[in-house]
Amino acid sequence: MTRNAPAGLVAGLLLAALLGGCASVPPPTAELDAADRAVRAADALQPRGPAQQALADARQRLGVARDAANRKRYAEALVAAREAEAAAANATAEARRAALEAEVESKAARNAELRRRLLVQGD
Amino acid sequence: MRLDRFPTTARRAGPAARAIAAAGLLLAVVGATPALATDEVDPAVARLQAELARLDADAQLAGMGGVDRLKAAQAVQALAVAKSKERASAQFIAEQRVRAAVAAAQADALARQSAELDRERDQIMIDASRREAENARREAERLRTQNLARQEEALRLQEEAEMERTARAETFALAEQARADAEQARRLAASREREAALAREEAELASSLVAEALAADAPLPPSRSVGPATVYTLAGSAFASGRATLTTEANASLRRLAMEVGGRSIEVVGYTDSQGAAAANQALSLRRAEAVAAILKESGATGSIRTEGRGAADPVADNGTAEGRAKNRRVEITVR
Repeated sequence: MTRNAPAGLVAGLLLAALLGGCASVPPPTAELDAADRAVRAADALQPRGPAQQALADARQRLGVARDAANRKRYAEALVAAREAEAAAANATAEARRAALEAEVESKAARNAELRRRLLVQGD
Repeated sequence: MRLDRFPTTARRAGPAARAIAAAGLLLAVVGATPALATDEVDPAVARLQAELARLDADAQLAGMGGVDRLKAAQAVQALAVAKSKERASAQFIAEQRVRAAVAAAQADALARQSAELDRERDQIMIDASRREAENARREAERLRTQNLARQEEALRLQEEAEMERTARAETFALAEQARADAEQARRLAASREREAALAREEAELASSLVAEALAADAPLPPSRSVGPATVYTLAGSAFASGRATLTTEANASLRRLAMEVGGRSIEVVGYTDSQGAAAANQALSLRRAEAVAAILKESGATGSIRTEGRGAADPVADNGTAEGRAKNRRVEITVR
């Protein structure tokens, strides 16, 4: 029984926090900032295709988050900010992958051309 | 990274997770409903976990997209424990995070591939440089060989030119020698010619002296007086038949006669026998008269000398006999 005592204590504290916190969620400033930075980072990559769609999604959710924060609906703002950051992260990764795909394709073609021009033709 | 390290249910989790599960049960008691019963696996969670598991199993993507994978696993875990009212958001976030993890891992792999392509490009450039250097070395070697061949050719041509020059010089020397020999021969010949001329002059002088000596002793040609003039007759025997050359005796007689006549005027008339053509006889008689006149003049006759050829005219003997014809072949010298 002594082994279960800390678990019971934690559960009790968490329950108290949940019950008491519903009414007083603080402004999700950090989450909004993080979401904003993530959107900016994704936007800097000028994504196309699926990444572009993800970025649009992120922007829309960031807008929702800001609007909710302005209306002091912090819980809703927090959720939307986290969603915006996740969507922006997805957009960033997708955009980076697409850019690298194009880069690899370009470099492979460049190497083939170099090999043909410098090594094959020279024979 | 294995997803197994992120248990999907509170039942398999550690003490903290179990506490969260207990809290969920308490929430159920107070009216809040948990997303699912803890012994059931959320299909969305399962799907996302499977997706992450596939990502982990991909050897080519091993160790790539680490941070995004971690965040994805955490998001899936959060979905697994999300309350029903948070579920939609948690699922959205988990979906985005898992996609981001896959894309990030693939992007890392592509970045590695891109770096490899850069290295490959560098290697190609190095190989090309080596090849270029090798080609340059070969070209230099080729040019060196070519230059050597040209030098050898130039040397050969120079030697040939030298040989040709030497040959020309030798030929020139031979020609010069030949010219010198010819000049020497010419000088020798000239010298001999002079010697011969001197000898001839000497001989002529001797001959002249002899002739004069002979003339002094020679008899005058037979003569006759015709009025105040004296007519000397050179018999036909004084000339060779058909010619105007005098015999030595006749020559000596004429020289003697020239000494006698001095500055008196002389008329020389030549005759032939009747044989042969008249014109030929006339010409022969004139040539004989002129030969006689020439000897007289060079032997001391200083007066005027007239010559005439009368051919077979005025015969003095019978042309029918040899003796008569010999008498008719004559030159008459009239001295006045």
